[in-house]
Amino acid sequence: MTKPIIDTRGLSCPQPVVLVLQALKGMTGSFDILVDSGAARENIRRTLEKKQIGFDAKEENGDTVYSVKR
Amino acid sequence: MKYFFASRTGIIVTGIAIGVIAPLLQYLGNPRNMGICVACFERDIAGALGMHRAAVVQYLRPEIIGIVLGAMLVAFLGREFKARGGSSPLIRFFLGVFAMIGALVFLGCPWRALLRLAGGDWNAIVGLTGLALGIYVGSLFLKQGYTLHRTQSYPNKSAGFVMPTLMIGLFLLLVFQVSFGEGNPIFASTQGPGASRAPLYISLVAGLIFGGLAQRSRFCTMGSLRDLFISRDLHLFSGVVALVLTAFVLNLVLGQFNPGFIDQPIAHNMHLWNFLGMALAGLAFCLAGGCPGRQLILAGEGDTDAGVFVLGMIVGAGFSHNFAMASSPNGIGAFGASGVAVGLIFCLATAWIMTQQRQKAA
Repeated sequence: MTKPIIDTRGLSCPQPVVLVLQALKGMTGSFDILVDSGAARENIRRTLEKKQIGFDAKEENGDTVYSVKR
Repeated sequence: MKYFFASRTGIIVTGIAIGVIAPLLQYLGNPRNMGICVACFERDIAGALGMHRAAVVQYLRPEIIGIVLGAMLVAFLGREFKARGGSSPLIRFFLGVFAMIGALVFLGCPWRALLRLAGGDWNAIVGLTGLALGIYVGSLFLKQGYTLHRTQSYPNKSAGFVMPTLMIGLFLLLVFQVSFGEGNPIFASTQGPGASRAPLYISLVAGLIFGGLAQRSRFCTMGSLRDLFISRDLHLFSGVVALVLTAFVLNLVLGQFNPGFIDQPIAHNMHLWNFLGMALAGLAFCLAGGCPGRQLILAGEGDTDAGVFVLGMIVGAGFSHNFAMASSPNGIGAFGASGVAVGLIFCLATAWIMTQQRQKAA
């Protein structure tokens, strides 16, 4: 099975964080988060760090991809 | 540097900077408890352009121009300038219109509400409580999947320069004191709040600093409460607290602190309408994704939807004064209550419809 992707690109704040919070609640495994705005990038990073959830960050075609590992 | 402003310290530094500069602007001539007010100053711009004829509130405020241009410059340096748009622009326009109608019933945007509080105007507490309620209601819809849908990136950066260019145009009209004939714009108040101004270039530089700092740190008063409601995140809230405490101390030092409910500058004490006006504004800001200051910043970063919201606020200021909805120190306007009612209906309907749609699509 391919890893689920949460695509937050183009959404106004705080929808990116809301989607991530919902994914954290609704899913048990790992997933990727696609982010394209500076504010959302920092908000999601802060949310994950606060919840002490492990993740990798990389740049892909100008977007940031956070890979949440659980 | 890039990460400094994303940190807790960065947002607090931004709050402190606004808390220092705003009372100084007031000391240097801006209206009382209004060192900076995005709603009031956009209203003054609407007046200067002749979109309303309230003679006491007309001036092309350089702070607004500075905020957009400061955000643009810093976004460029940080490689964050990105032309984008197409996320329900017409809805955003009317959210801007009604946000302004609500803000002018209270007499201030969230930044001014905080500055009024820091100046001892306890009516601000009522307004901020209303603001919090509006944002709370908006947050409930957001948690249920409310969305104005995705914005699209434009392939060419140039599309993002429309708002900054408009601001440069306003600045040229201001510095060359252009007039379109006797009795025609550009107007500039000779008395009242519109005639209270800090020196032009100081105002402009203050705006540039606000815009630059807030772009980096994502400072947003609406977001500070929204993040508390949605994710218990205190990040933005710490910046707001820093702003109020700093402005309070500076007002004490400058002799600008004057506690009470009665006879506060450019304010009224009709509690119900201070509350409901800001509740409407808070809901509209929340549905649009940012307080008026934040919308100016986004407009400077190339977000044309935020630009549409800003234009909605300027047009809304015209409606507010032309249709007797704006308050004055004597109390609310003859049609202020009706304006708030229509605005609340529009915002709640928008919130409901744009949430339903998402549930069906999912």
